[in-house]
Amino acid sequence: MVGKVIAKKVCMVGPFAVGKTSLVRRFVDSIFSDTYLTTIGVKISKKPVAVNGDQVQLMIWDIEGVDVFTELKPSYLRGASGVLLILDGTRPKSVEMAAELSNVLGEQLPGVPVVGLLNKCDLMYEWKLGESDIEGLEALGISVIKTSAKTGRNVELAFELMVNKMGLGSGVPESP
Amino acid sequence: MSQAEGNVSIENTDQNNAESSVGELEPDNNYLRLRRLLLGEDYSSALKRYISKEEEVERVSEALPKAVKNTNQAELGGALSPVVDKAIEKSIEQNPTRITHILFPIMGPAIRKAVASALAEMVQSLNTLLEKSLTLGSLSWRIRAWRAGMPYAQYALLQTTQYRVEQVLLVHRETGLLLNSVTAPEVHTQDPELVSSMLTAIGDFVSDSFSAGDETLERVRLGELEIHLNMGPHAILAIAVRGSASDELALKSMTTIETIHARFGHQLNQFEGDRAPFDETTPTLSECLLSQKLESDEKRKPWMAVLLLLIGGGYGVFSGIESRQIEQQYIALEKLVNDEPGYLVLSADSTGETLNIKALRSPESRTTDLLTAELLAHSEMLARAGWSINSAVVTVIEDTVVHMGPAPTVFVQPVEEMPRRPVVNVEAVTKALLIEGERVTIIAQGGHLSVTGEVSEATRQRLVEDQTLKQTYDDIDFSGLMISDISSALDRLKELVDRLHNTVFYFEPNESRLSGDELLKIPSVVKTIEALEKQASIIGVRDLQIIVMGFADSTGSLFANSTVSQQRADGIRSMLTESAVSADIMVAWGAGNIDLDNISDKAQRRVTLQVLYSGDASNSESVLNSEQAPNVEPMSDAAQTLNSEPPAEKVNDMDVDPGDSWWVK
Repeated sequence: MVGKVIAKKVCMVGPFAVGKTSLVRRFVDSIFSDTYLTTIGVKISKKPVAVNGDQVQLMIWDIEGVDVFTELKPSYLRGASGVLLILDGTRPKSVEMAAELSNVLGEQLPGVPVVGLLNKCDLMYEWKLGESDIEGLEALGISVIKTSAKTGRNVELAFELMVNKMGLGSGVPESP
Repeated sequence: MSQAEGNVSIENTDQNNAESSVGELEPDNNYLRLRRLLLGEDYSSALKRYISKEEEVERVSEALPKAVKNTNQAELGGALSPVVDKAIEKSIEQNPTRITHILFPIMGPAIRKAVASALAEMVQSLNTLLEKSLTLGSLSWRIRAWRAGMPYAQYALLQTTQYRVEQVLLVHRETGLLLNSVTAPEVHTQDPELVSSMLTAIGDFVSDSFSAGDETLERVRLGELEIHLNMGPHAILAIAVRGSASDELALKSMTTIETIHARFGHQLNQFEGDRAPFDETTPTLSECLLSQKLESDEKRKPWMAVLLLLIGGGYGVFSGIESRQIEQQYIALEKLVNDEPGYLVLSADSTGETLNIKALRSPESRTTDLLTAELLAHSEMLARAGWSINSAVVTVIEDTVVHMGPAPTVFVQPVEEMPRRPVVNVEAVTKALLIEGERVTIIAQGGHLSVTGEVSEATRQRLVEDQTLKQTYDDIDFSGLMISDISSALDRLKELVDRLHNTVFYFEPNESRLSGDELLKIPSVVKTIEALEKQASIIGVRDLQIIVMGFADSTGSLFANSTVSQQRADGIRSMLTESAVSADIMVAWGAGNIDLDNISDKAQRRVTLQVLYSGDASNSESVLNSEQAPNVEPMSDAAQTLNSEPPAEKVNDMDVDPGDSWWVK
């Protein structure tokens, strides 16, 4: 049975070079490349996901990384149904910025679910985050999930979690 | 500040000293003494060398090329460019011819190229215009230009600009999600969902970067492709156009976005990602897939010119055929008139579709009315048979009746011709033999006497045996003398009516003239009708009417059948009235085709006669019983011969035995 097709806008937000584009490429095209190319402006990808017989068309807005020089442009966030906040587990500073970003998101997109992705979990020797950091994020109302764009670990799950949080899926999938 | 002033003063003294350096030194100038100590004997020559311009120039000119080579080229270029600019400007100012000569070989080809390309463009445009000017399209352009109230040239220019809408996207403004899209056939486009999101993102980017207010991105141009963005409060209409679009498109795009907002305002406001409700916008969006195409690839034919030529040629052929057909008809009709017994054509000339014939005709020939009606019918038949374009030719015959050859009646005085016979008063003799209420007509013609009328058996006997009459006339015709029996008068009437009712004239297919044997029925019918009239007047039947009913067979159209049946009825009626049957009791009616299918076509093509009358026996009796003197209506020879139109001319034409005739000649 073919249900209706629902289109949703999802934004990838986070500091620069945390792997937002790589996560999108892994999720959409199942490709990973070590080459770092900074995103300017925004790059949009499309990914159909089947949820409960309904087709969800995710329009993924991969927004340029935020740093001290580049602010998060609120216009790109407009109309988003979900936000993936990407952080780098090897850079504790990126986690510090999460609180700041979370504030902006709360202002611009009140009530919109935010899923936190601690990326680069394949680099376990360089991992610099502790449990307290994760607890801090969860205190901001962000569900946290460790991902790796390189190995593909938890990438699909993160997007599924996102879809579920948007109120489309069957429920919150169990974290492995 | 004081420090600087001090320096300046020292320099000044230094200068003064240098000028007078060759001379003796100022003992109190410690600086000078120091220089002297340091530089020794070379001091004055060194000073001289540095000051001398010639030596300086010489030194720099040696070093300059090397120095230029060693310097940063970009820096040097930057430093030199204003100088070079100024130098070139000055040079051109001083000698403009030289720069012209230098530039000529470079500019020539460039200009030629530019002009050629501009000319080619113009020629193309002119070609289109010229091609258009003789095509059907140009006519419609002219009409549209006129309706649009702009000069034709402007309209044509507008029309020769080419564009095509390749894709129309309806985008949700808030999310940038695609609501619906339509694509022109055979256009390869990117994923419309991605394009719509990207367009929104680009719009956001441009607005964020360059605009402070509510201004939004309206157009994105990429080479030949232009994207027109029309922003509504909730949706964006993005139209991808190749080429330069006309105002028409801008207007269309505006009305479309307005229409969509009016119809789907609620759905747009409540949009949660479900596109299904917006599928209904497809027809509206498809209306925006406008295009204006230059069909320059295919060779256009000047249809207008071809059409005009065809119309001209067609008209020529048509009128040629038509005039030839009319000509042939004229000849045929003229021949028919000439062949008509008793007619002699003097001249025939035509005006339009009317043939005017001047003819002489003998008194006993058919009247012109009858002949022209027949000719018209014949012409119509010819027209039908020959697939003629024109309608039938109307023939007008201007006749002069002349007595040619022997007259049908004899111009002889009976008394002079037969002097031996006693002169008798036929009227008185006959009258003496009749009884009350009887009425006979006697016609004396030379030696012939014809007695007609209704008498009793006894009266007839007396008339037949009357010696006076026998002696006066060579032969006496009593055949027209009916035996009148009062009781049988009505039966006689009914018998006559029955006889008429049983008379049927049959026709050839699609023919309204009687032919062959059918014609021979006319005289007897005439006789029967006359007898009927007489009988009716005797017994006082009122309102006698004979309906001549024409019928047609089942083939042919309703209209044609109605026409031919009416023509048949009219023809029979005119034949009968020509044959002295009074016209005021005859009615002709074409019934068309009304028969049952099982009646054969041959039997259906007919004319029948229907007799209607009113009045009863008592009425007739009263007439018969009225006291009337025997009534004789004499007809003298003179009266008969004076009549230039013989009443029985039809009978003559039809070659009927005169013995059968009512009238004795």
